[in-house]
Order: sequence, then structure tokens, then C-alpha cells
Amino acid sequence: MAGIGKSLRPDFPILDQKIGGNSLVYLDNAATSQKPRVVIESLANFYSIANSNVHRSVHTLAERATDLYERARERVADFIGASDPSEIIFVRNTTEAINVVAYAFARPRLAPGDEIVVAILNHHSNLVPWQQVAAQTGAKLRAIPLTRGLRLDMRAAASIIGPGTKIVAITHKSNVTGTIVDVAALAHMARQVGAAVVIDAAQSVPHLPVDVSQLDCDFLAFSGHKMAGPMGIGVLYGRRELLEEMPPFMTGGEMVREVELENATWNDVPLKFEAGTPNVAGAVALATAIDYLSAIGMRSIADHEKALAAAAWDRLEEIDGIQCVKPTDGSNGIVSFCMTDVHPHDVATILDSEGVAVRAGHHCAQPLHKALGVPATVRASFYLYNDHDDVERLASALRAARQFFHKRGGSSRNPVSDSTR
Amino acid sequence: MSDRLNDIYPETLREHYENPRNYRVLEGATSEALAMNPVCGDEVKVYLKANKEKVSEVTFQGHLCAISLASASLMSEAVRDRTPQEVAITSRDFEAMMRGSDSIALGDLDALRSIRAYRVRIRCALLPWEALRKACQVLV
Ligand SMILES: Cc1ncc(COP(=O)(O)O)c(C=O)c1O
Repeated sequence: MAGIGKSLRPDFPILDQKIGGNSLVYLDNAATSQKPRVVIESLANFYSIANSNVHRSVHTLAERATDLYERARERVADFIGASDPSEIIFVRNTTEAINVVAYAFARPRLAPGDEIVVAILNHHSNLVPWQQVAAQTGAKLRAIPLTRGLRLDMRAAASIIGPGTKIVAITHKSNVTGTIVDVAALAHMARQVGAAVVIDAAQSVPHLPVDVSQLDCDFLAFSGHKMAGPMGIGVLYGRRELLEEMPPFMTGGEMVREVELENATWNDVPLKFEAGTPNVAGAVALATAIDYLSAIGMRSIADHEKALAAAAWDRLEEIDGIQCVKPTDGSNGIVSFCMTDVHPHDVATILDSEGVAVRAGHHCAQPLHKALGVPATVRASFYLYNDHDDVERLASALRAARQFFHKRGGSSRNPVSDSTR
Repeated sequence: MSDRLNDIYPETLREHYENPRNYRVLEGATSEALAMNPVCGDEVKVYLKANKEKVSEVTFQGHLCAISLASASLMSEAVRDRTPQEVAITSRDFEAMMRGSDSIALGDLDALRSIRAYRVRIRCALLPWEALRKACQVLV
């Protein structure tokens, strides 16, 4: 096994810098990951030796670019266990991928009274598009709640998913709690009622082994930038039969077969869904990122993050007045918490002054925060280049935060649920 | 304590955060308004006792970070016993200061100048002022 943790730091040029005099500890990986040198070079290489448009010209560079682009598609398919590379559509990000499904798959199919099942833990990008579909088609939105242990309530899911369900759109791994959803079990429920399963894998594909054939989902979305790849490239996996039945999401060049003045016929999948010049360099660099992650091993990455998060929980529990948002299924690389009497944004600002980058806010999951009973949390999220030293730096920065605002005593002036409304 | 932290949270700001002035619901308020920060879900309600001649009392309550809370506390002192026109001018000047202007001195409110270096936190400082402006709308 290749090394993991600190030994990978030199691969990531951005980590070699000081923030306010302290070496950078980057714990905002759930927002976006850093990129290894090979990925940065892959982008530069593409533009240096292969840049050309794809699927259009016949010269050597065009061949080269098209070949690299299609090989990137094959690499992605292989990485997530899709047997057919044409089931891989390159998009900009998870959000766009889910919108493709919402607009091109769901909208034409849903009728008033049909049900779209989402989960309280969904990210806004796997919620708001469904609200739009519901508003436009008259379908109803239903949400699977969490258990007290912050896991998806599978018993509630079994009663919510029923004959009226047409779409089950769930986040595989929560970007706030790290909760991992049993997608295969949900897919089994969905199959029995003929509903399609749409999985937001933005936090799972970068951090765990994911195999679409085992999950048995119909669609799966993820972003390159959260998995050591560049920004601006993302993936929609779709079951081939469904992609073939769907109308295109956007229309224009590249996605057509034949165009007359008054009408056009569509290209085959996946090109039908890739209107206009795609992000070829991004796709190629994403394949490089996948090679990089695969050399370390997704299982090792998942185990490493789990160990770091478990250590972080232990350290956090030693600090006065930290409330952990910890699911009972353990610590899947994400540690979210609140500090009594100190606002999450102030915690994040104080941590930043110690060189520790975390995120504070509702993390695009307001319904989840409402269910948790807090408006916002602080989130530390780990990746393969983090190490136990980073956990210690987090803990000591949190102690500094505790000290900085220590005078305020026990009576909370900012009760979590107050009477201002 | 790191110097950097003292730059971000200077003494006056911390003092107001730890002992906010006028943090309460105002009985018999003549107007009130809410402002929310969509980024973090923070919210503040500002209460006024005021007529067309004078804003005689300003209080606030809400769920706020240190910067919003200190800003609200400083605001509640800076604008009381002023005419609605004076309140509007202070409010405009404060916003101009937070957006970069150095041409106006605002007394204790100047403590919030340090926040300007942190682009994403500027709106924390402005949040209570948004509520104040809304609450004042009925006066002019
Ligand atoms: C669970 C989850 N879904 C969706 C997204 C949206 O990803 P993107 O902004 O790349 O579209 C994110 C990240 O922001 C996420 O964490």
C-alpha cells in the first residue's frame, strides 16, 4: 500500500504554505479538496500537447484530445463500476447532474399526485431541483427523517416509499454528519414500487469505494473538485435504458445527429447530454485524479478518514462546551459540532487565525440543521493528506477559541431556539 | 493570544460582545423589524421606540455571531436619541465605512473597521443595520 496521511502532503503544492504564520491545516475537504501536482500538471499537459475540440475535427490533435476524453470516460466508468462508458455523462458538477435528471427525466414523467421522496439530510442541490419539479408537475415532495442517532430512518423510508413514489432522491453520504445511507436497501424498496433512484454521491465517491452495480441506483451524481480533481467537471451516471428514453437537457452543437432548418435528431448517449464544447481538460485531469486516488485505494482512504474523525471526536469531547453532531454509525471523515456560546462563524475565524481551515454555517443543508435544532455548525472534514497532527492542531485551535471568548459564563444569550420570530 | 485575533476582534468589539447593551425585547415598541443572514441563518430583530422627531430607544435580540452582536450593541447606543434623519445618515455612513470608505469617523463604531479585511464577515456587521433600516421605514 502506498503511504497515506502526512507522507502525501508533498504531493499537494497548496498545503505548503503558512496562514497567519502557522502551517496550513486544511480541514474543509467536504467543500472542495486540494489537488495533487499530477492533476495540476495533467491540466497543463492537456493544453500543452493535446488541446483541440473533441468529436469534430479529424486532425491529429483532435484525435488525441478525443481519445483522451473518451479514455477519461472509460476510467470514470470503471472507477464506479459502470459496465458501459456511455452511461457516464460529463457535466460541470453534482448540482448540474441532478438538474439533468430533474429536468430531462423527472419532469416529463411526473403527474399531479405522484411522489418524490427526498431525505432531511439532503444537500440543497438534491432538494431544490425536486421542489421545482414538484411545483411544475403537481407532484408531492416527501422527506425521510433521521433517527435520533442521526441515521436515515429506514423504517420511515419503508412507509414513505409506496405506490405513489416515482423518484427516490437521496444523498449517499451527508456532508454535515458523514452519515452513510444504505442505498441498496432504499433501491430495493424503490424497485418494488417502480420508482427511480437518484443518488447524490458528492461526498461518497471521493471518500469510499462506490459501485453503482451494487448500489443498484438509476442515477448517481458527483463532482470532480471534491475528489482531488479540478473544478468545473462532474459526472452523471445514468442507466443506459433511461438515458436513451430521456430527451436532452440542453440542445445545440455536439448533441445532435442531423439538423435541418426546422428540426434535429439527437446524437446517441452520452453525447446527447453533452451539448457544446465540453470541459475536456477537466475530464482528462479527473481521470488522473482517479488514478491517484486508486493507487492509494478507496478503502484505505475511507479507513484513514474514519480513524482521524474518531480521534477528533475524542479530542473534542475533552474540550469544555463542545456539542458534537455525531451519528451512531461512527465517524465517516466528517466532524460537525457547536461550541457553547461561541457562534460557528467566530469559531471558524479563530481557527483560521491558527491556520486551521474549517467551514461554518448550514453547509447547504438547512432542513437538516432545523432537524438538528441548530442554525449552523462548525465542520472539520478530513481527506487522505490529513493526519493526526492536524487533529491536534484542530483541538488546540479550539482550545484557543474557548479561551478567547471564555468570559461569558454559563447563561446563554443566544439560545438555539429563541423567541425572535 | 495571537495578534491576528486581536486585530479581528479588537477590545471594544469583544467588550460589546461580552456585555451587549440593549439586548432585550422592547415592551411597547413602536416598530420592529427582522433581518436574516442567509449564509449562516443568523437573525436579529431590532425594536424601536420612536416618532417622527426622535428615536428614543433601540433594543435588539437574536441569534448572532460576535461581530453581528457587537455591531448591534454599538448601533443601539450610536443611534438612540437621534432624529430619524440622523439615524439614516449614520446608517448610510456606517455601511459606506464597512464597504471601504475611510473619510468618516464614527466614534465607537470605528471598532468594526477591522472586519473589513474579512470580506465574508462584512455582512455580519451590516446585519443589525439592515433590521434598523427596515424598522425606521415607518418613520419617514
Ligand atoms: C452532499 C453534497 N451534494 C451536493 C453538493 C454540490 O456539489 P457541487 O457544488 O459541486 O455541485 C455538495 C457540495 O457542495 C455536497 O456536499
